[in-house]
Amino acid sequence: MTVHVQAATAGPRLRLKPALTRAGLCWLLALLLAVAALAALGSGAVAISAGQAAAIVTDRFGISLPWRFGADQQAVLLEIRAPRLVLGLLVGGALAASGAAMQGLFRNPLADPALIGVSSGAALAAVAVIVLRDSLFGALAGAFGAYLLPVAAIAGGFGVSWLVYRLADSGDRLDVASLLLSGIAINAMAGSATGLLVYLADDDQLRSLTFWSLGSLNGAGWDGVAIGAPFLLANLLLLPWLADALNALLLGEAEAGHLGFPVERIKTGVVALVALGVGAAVALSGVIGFVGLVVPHLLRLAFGPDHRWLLPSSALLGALLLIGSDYLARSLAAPAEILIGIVTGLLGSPCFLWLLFRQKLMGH
Amino acid sequence: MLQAIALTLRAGAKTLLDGVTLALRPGEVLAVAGPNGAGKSSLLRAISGELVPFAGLVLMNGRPLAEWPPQRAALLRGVLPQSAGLAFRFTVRDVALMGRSPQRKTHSTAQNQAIAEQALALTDTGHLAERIYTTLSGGERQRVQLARVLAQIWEPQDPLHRYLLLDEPTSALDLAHQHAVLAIARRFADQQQAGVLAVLHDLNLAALYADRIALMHQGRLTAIGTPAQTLNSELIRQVFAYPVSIGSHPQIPAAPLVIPRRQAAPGVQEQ
Repeated sequence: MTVHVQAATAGPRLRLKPALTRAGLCWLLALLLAVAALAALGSGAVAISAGQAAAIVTDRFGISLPWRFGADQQAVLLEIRAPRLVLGLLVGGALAASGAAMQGLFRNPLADPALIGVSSGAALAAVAVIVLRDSLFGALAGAFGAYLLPVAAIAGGFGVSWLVYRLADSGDRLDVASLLLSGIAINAMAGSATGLLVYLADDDQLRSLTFWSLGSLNGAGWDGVAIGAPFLLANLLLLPWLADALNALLLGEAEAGHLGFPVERIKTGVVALVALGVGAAVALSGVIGFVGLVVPHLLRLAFGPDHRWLLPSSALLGALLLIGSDYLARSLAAPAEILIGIVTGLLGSPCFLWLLFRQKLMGH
Repeated sequence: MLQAIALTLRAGAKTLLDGVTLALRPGEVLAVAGPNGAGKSSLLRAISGELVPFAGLVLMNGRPLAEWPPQRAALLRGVLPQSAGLAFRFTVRDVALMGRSPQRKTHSTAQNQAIAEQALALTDTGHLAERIYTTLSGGERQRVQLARVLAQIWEPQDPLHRYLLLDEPTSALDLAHQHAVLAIARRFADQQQAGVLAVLHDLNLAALYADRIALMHQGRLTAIGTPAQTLNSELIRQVFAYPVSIGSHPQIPAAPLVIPRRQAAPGVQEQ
């Protein structure tokens, strides 16, 4: 997108042209992400400078840098902040890339990864485990231990998406409009079931339930990252492979087929990758809204709709947004912590309204 | 050759195509005409492989369509849809470049871009390359889509013949562009020995540019032959349920000219 800014009156003429190439914008995002990551590692109750953070990380690989650090700093960084950062990067990236892919699949810039039921399914499974842990899932809790919750959430997200998918699949083709409608119906059903379970919850359980409905990176450890990383990485690495096909799908399914793309396999692949990525994201960090909706939409304004750029840049901006929101969530009310979903909602909804009004003003 | 053999297509209880057999020959322009709902678009969609027939077979260069790997088939036949919506704000150049998707791994981006530009120039849309597709007029969009499809089957695939299937390619075009587009189709058939099938409503356009005309009625092929054979007043009255007179084109006497009679005003008997 070309941006021309001109000073109205005398004085040096300010002219920015052409604003940024697509590759340049991607590099800028990557750079900002690196800066944000270092800042996230450094900020908190135990202060760690960027140099110290770098020294602690390289020390793990046997390289010493001239910055000195204490054992407490090392422990905080490696055991608390680093897994939280990695989870934030992966979850933010996967949510935003999934949003871009869903918007392409539905040919609707307002689509959201939650449409296929994955978030509500994962939340339902997680709430069921929290509330019914003692009564129903006792045996399972014994077998899975601390992994029960994330594993159940991933399974719940995938299971509900599968149900939505089956309802929209007429045997030989997947009808995207039915996918949207069955997604709405199943989402409502899962939401009601979750609501019922909330009635059964006691005070302690309610507190953990809030975590699932608004999301948080708090409590992320390396074990959680290890469970989710394969799914999140599969999502992040494989979705860009479908970029050309998603572009062609925007012309229409028949047209994409005439261009030689295996349309049915691609639609199934997109749904499966989104279910895996978003399911794992919800399992580890709860339902974090607006990232999947707003990030691709914003980038489409800057980049145009080409998925070859949109998917990787969405992953970068999604990761950046989540890390930034997590930083705000941790620091705004320190030492208490705000749930990250509240921050992304506060940042995201005005953005979204602005986009809507902008569309209205521009007439399309 | 692109052959449809005894094609039958059903949607629920309705029969869209009823045993249609026809062959699109390399180097010819075949126009398909008929009243609304006659099955013209269904025929095109079945021949292109978009719809799977209830019975019958489509052979492309002697091989059943289903046996062609989709990416190979994409190099041999391009399909212009009746209308192509595009929700997102792609530039015209990007849309044309999508036609080069089948070649994205075999050609360099620069080569594909060059061909997309040439295709745009060919359909008189080169000046629109930077424009956002969704802001174009209907006719401009149709020409950009034609450029995309031409870019897709740009290169000869000797010894295999290529086919261009056009679903009402002139429906949104002004007079000059209607003729320009059919002239492109004609030239593509003549110079590249490609087979062009075009669904057309304007029988006079068909008479001027097509080698043969297929007349369809209620899912069946009523007649197929040269314009002189098919455009007679009896056959047209039978297929379209409308009276016409047949003249001859002042510039090309061999081409018949279809002149519709005036519709009688309601309540007035006219003979």
